Amino acid sequence: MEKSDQYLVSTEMIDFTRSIDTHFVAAIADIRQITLILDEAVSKLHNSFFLINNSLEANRGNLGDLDIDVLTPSLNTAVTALQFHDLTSQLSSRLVNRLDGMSEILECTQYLSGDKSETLVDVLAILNARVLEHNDNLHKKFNQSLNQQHMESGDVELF
Amino acid sequence: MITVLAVDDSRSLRQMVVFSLKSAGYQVVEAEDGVDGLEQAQKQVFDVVLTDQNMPRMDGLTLIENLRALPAYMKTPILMLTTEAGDEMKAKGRAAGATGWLVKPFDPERLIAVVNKVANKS
Repeated sequence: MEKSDQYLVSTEMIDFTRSIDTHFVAAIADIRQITLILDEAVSKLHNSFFLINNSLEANRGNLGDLDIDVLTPSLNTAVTALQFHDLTSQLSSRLVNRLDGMSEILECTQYLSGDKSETLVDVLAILNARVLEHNDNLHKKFNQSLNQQHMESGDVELF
Repeated sequence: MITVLAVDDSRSLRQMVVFSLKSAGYQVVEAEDGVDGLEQAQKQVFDVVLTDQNMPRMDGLTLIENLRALPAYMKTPILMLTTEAGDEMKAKGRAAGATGWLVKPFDPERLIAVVNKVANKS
C-alpha cells in the first residue's frame, strides 16, 4: 500500500462522527421526554392512590362488602408496583449518562488536525486514547448496579 | 411511638415508605439525601433509620459511617433500602455498620415486619 493511501481525510471523519452524534443527542432528548411524562404520570398515580386510600379509611365500616381488610393486599401490591418509578428513574439517568459519555467520545474528533499528513495510524491513536480516557470516566460513574428484572419485592437480609 | 428516619432521594419512594410505616403506627420523618438525613438525625434521635444507598451529596454508606460516629446512633438499627443487591455492596454496608439490607422494591408487610423486628431488638 502506498503511504498516500493511508492518509485519512480528517474532515470526513468529523462529518461521520457528527452524523452519529446527532442520533445520540436525539436519543438523550427522547429519554428526557419519557422521564418528564413518567414523572407527571407517577405524580398523578400517587395522588389518586392516596385519595382512594384516604376515602377508604374515612369510610371504614360503611363500605358493606367492600371491607378495607379485603382491599389491603391490593393496596400492598400497588405500593410495591408504584416503586417502579424509582427504578426506572435510575435506569433512565444511567442511560442518559452513558449516551452523554459516548457523545463526548465522538467529540474527540476535534483533536484531529485536519492535516493531510495525519495518517490513519495517527488518527486511530488519538481516538483510542480519548476512548480509553472516557471509558474510565464512564466506569467510575457506573459503579452502582441495578439488576432488577421484575417488580416482585426484593430480598431481605439482617446482619 | 417508634420513630423512623426515611432517607431517599426519590420522593415517590419516600411516600411509599411513609405510607407503609404510618399505617403500622410508626412516626416517620423524611430526608432527601445523606446530608439531609444526618442533619435530621442530629435534630432528633430516631429509633430506626432506613436509608437508600445511591443519593446525591452523601450516599447511604457514608451516612451510616457518620451516624455510627455519633454516640446516640452507635446501637440504633440502620437498614439499607436500595436497588443494590450485590454481595460486595452488602459486605460494605455491613462493615459500615448497617443492621440489615432490603432490596427494592419492598413489600409493605415485609418492611413493617423487618422494622418491627429490629426496633424491638434494640
